Amino acid sequence: MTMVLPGVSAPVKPRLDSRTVYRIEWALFVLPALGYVIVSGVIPLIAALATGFFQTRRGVTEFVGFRHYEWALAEPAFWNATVNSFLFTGFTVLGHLLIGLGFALLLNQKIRALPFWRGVQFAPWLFPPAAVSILWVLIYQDQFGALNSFLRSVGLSDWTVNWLGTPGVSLAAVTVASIWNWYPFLTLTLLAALQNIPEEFYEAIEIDGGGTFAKFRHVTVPHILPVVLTICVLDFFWTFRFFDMIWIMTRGGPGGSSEVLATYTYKLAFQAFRFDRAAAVGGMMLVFMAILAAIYLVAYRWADDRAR
Amino acid sequence: MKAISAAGRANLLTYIVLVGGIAIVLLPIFYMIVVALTPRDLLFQSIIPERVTYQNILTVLSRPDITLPFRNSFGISTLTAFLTLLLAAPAGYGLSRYRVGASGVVIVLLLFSQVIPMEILVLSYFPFLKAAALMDTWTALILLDTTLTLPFCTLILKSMFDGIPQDIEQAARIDGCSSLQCFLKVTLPLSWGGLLAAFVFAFLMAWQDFLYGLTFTATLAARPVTVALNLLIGHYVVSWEELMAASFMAALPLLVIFALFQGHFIRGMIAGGVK
Repeated sequence: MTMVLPGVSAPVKPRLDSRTVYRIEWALFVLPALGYVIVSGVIPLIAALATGFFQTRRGVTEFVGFRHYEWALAEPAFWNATVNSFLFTGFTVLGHLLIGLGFALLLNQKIRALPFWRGVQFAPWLFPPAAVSILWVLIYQDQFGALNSFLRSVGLSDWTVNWLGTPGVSLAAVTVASIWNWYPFLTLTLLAALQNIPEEFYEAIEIDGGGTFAKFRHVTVPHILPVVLTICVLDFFWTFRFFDMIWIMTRGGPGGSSEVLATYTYKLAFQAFRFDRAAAVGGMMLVFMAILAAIYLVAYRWADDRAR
Repeated sequence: MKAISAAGRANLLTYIVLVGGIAIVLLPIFYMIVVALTPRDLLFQSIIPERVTYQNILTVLSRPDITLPFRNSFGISTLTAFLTLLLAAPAGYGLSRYRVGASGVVIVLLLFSQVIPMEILVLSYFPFLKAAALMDTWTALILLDTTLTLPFCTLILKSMFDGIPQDIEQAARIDGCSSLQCFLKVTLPLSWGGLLAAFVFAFLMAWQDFLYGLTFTATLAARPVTVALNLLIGHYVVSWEELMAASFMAALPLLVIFALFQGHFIRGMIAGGVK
């Protein structure tokens, strides 16, 4: 691909020159956005992580190495938030996947008015998490919330509980709300993946006498597995940093029982005013994400080989 | 097209399961609307109230601590979407049309910046915005929201440009179009669907932001509607019917925009999310 430059009957330029022009044009198109991402994303990230290695006392800032990391690793509240983060994120992603795949498989049948059904099932995603949180606070409300009212009306009064005010329950309650808010994204991407599977593969199974389950097991699953892995990892990262819902619904409570790393970091910074410790906990979040990314890359290679 | 092949009778079953599933997931929204329309004296007495009222919506709309945040959210989200397009459209075009090795690096960087925990970034933004006297301004939230929207929208537009054949551009080049003219006059007009998808997506993401609004606004000058809702819960008397009315109204613009542009939006979301 060589670039035809404007200007008629230009002398034949040396190849390197047109290649340089080509690169400059690319840079002019890409640099504004790239610069923006670096200045507003990468540099602030590095600057924030750097504060995790310093400590300021009485106006004197000194380098303290991994002291804040050592503090975090010895802090039970950090490990509590870590475990909660993995539970919250893991179950949210699992819920998204199950509901999203369910809807995607249904929508992938030859149904009438596909755009309508696809659009209607998408509705929860459109609600801002802040609004969703308030809705679910009411649903979970102890005395007159929808869930407890429903349980009482069907004679299950024993099951009623203060959903957001009981340790061991509040995290699960918020998880359900976050599953509800975000599964539509998975539906859409999985539906697109399903629609990419060539019809012939199913026909081949049919010729071999395979039924519905055989088709799902031998065609659908291997074909969508790479997409499933990718989208689940993305979803994991997005949920891992997800702050809004836990902040509004429980503030991490009661007694830290629904604290996740996102809210823990935020509290360290803006309630305890320890930006240095917050940065260390944030650094640990990145470490966890890096470990997950490494696992993903191995799993993706395996799944991608099988899909071919 | 069919994942689990089924004909005739099973198709009816498909519809039943689909409608049942959708009814269940829409139940919370239905509940929200019902509570929002219930007069206070009938609240939480029966599933469907005997009377409905629009009073709650009017009450909410008469409160400046809700209406001003609505104005802020509209302004901030719209300007964020414009700024995002201004940066993302050329970048998406460059990444799509030019075969330069560094494009791969740029795409990886975009993917990475999509998942950086915002709680960490906030630690840097806070002292910076304070020093720059940008706390509690639209400018701050527009700049930060664009950080959220730009990576995804660039990827949406890249894959949209990938889908537009290059032949037309090459013909234009032979007629003497420069690269910039090719982009502005040939390819951009052909990709308005992708631009629309990116615009809608950026608007939605900016509208839904809570963390930046919570951290960097203190007054009604720039407070977005998501943060205003959150402050209402802490109010001395929680009046649920008004809260539900306000919450539904906070989602309404997004529902309307989605209903209008569903096709473009979904294509864009798939393009940006999977590829």
